Amino acid sequence: MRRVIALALLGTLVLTACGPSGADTEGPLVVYSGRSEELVAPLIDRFEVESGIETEVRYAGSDELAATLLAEGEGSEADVFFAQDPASLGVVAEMMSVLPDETLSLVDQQFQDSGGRWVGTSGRVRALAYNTSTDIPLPETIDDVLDPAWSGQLGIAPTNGSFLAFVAAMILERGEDGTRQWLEALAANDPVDFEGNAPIVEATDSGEIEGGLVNHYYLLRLRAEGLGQNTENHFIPGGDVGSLVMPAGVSILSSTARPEAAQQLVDFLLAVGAQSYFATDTFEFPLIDGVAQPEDVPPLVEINAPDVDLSELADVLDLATQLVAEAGLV
Amino acid sequence: MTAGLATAPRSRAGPNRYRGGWGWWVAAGIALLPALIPPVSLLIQVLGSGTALAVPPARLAELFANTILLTAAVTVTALAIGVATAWVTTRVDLPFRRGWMTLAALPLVVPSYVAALSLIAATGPSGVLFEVPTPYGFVGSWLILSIFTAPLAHLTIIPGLRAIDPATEEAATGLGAGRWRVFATVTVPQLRPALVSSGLLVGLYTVSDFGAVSLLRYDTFTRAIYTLYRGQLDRRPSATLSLILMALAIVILVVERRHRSRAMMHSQRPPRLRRLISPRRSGLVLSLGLLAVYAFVSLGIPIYVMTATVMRGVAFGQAIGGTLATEAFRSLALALVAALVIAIAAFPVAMVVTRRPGRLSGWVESVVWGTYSLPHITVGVAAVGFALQWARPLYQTLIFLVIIYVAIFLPQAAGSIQDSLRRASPDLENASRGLGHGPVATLLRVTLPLALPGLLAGTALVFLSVMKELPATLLLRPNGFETLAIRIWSSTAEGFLTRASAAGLVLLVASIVPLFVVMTRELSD
Repeated sequence: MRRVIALALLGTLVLTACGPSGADTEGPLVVYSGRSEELVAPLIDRFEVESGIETEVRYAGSDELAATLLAEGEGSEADVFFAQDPASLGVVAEMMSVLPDETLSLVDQQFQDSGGRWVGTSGRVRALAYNTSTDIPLPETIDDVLDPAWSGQLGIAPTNGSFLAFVAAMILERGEDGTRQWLEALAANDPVDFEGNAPIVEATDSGEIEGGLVNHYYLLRLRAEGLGQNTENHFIPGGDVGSLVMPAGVSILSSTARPEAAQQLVDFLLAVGAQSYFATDTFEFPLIDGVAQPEDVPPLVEINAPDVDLSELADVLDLATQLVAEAGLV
Repeated sequence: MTAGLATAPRSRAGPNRYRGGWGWWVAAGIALLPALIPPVSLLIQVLGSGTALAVPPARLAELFANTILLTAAVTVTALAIGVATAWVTTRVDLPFRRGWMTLAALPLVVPSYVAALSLIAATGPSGVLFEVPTPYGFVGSWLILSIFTAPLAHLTIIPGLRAIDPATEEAATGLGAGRWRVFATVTVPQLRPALVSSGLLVGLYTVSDFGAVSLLRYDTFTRAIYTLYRGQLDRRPSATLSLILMALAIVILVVERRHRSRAMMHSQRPPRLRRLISPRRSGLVLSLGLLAVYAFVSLGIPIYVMTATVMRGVAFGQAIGGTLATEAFRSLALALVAALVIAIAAFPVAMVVTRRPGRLSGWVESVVWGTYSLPHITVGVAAVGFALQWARPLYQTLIFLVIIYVAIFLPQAAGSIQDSLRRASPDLENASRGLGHGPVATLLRVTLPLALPGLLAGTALVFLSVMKELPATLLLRPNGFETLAIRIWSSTAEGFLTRASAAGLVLLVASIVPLFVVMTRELSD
């Protein structure tokens, strides 16, 4: 028993050592990141070195962080919100300050908030990952995945933020009834449920399913792990939400105690260095001019992305979740 | 009997009553406070903004039925496995006995979704072992949850076995009963409290599990609750369902309490050292075979899958992640501290439940077990709301995180301590007081040593559970405080398979040594 207590006391020591350092009198720059540590930690480290600003990051899901920010309110310690999708950014847009014009002008109009409260940092495209040995004809429009040939063979992640954003975009494109019909037809076609996009691509690659609706970069991530030889990305050419472009984005809280440092981080994320990192290391599309596109993917301009006002996604997100549940997909 | 010992006058309240004072109630009350946070939060939420049922009643009934079916099935098999491994490692003289005892407990540290992933990797299409028609659905969920919750029973039953007076078994053998008959008619009845505690721990854990059932696509109540937390800012549906789930758990607990044996199982003499069974060759092969098969399925397959992934990834130039050492230290420190705090907090609760059975202690049990059955995400969200509203300085601190661990994991420690205390007659404590020792001295010299096996088992259980805890930790941790469990989840979700598997292997390796240390002689011999 004594050994157990000794171990516990050792543990307490370690834990207290893990406490806040308090070296920076101003306190660190606090970033709430819906983008995972595996993807952005190297970038944040680089920012810390280049700017000398100590940064503290909270990693979690974008939707969860949005809910947390809303719950924390004005007293939130967060300075910057770096999110995976525009819907989460839109949900908390009222808490954010308007970004300066120099920042907003770096990026195309369609990849930023219409009110200027968030700006896109990299582009992520919806795609159909498919097994190269499949006989099923590749869809020309998003309605083609409702084809009976896909019955029991299409992977979806109905609780995933990107899927919900995709459904929200569909509501903006074809209205509530049109979306409900599509979701019900999808449910009737026996889709296969997954927890996230990465498992869908892995299952496609192993042959468990013939394909699934994912974000384009998961296949490239899998290839970096030594898998993915049996899978390819298909970008639905129909110009509908099947090839929706969803930027990851960043915004600054209006309640921040460190607005200049926050702005520096935003500038850093939109500079050539970070944008190249997104292209080469996370396989996403850079959103500023003059940066090379990622390999193994068609250039962003060639993808027939739909014309959807991303700023409005947040307004219909709750409805999207409801429709998905009503269709019996979850 | 206890001739020659000055016996204190028996309390009028009955032979099982303890003369101790209200101090235990106060301590139990304090220990109970964290467990009150989630249900009170939920009630306030529901009373304030009303209930909302986002799931149609027909579907709700279906989820209910699925949950009950899975829970019942898993409880039976997990208990069977746990009893077998506990018995073999406590009673049979095996080579490396303590090592096998540790290995049989270790699978508890594997997060259920990692276990499910290993099963899928091993048996799905292009699986590494053999292909089964489908590893998904009820069968897969039942299998995975049984295998990986069996340690809950294993660790709870070990002190129970230890406390059985060898004389009872020897008497039966002497009267001509065969090995199995002795087990069924003498051992098992005396194990009843431990079996019931194990059953509750396994059953209510299964009710709250999300990782395995979501990956294996089996629709339970908890899965619906998690889904309601995603992409929706309206918390009413999830709060409503969580309260229904908690009510279900309390019903199970009340039924159990009604059937609880009031039998006095007090041993009237000090437990005699038991001689281990020296098995013949066939017995040895059987025992070691059982343990080896269990270790292979519960640890061997996941380790194989994870190692293969790491090797493939590294060959392709993937990094295993530079943060693993820090995360390992953090996980270990947090788990060890939490285990000790929770063992201490569970002690008064166990005392109150065993020494002062009645309506009030019944309420105490209901709160504690009820919160245990809640999905961890519900507890986490309720805790965040509570902290932001009432305890802002505690928000996103490690202290608060440990407090919430107390709320979630108290029964794991309380259950084992209760079993140990039930064995020990309160006469011993009354006698100590009667001889003039104060309450503190009695506590240290009589009660604690009696409860020690249960305390150690509870500490081990909580340690493993905290090492792998995810949803509440994600919500409540300080910024930048990443644990191994968080690393595994984050890497898996983003497709960083090498990093995820490396972290999984580190989780297993890091947990072995502290676990082995806890499995000391006081626990089992």
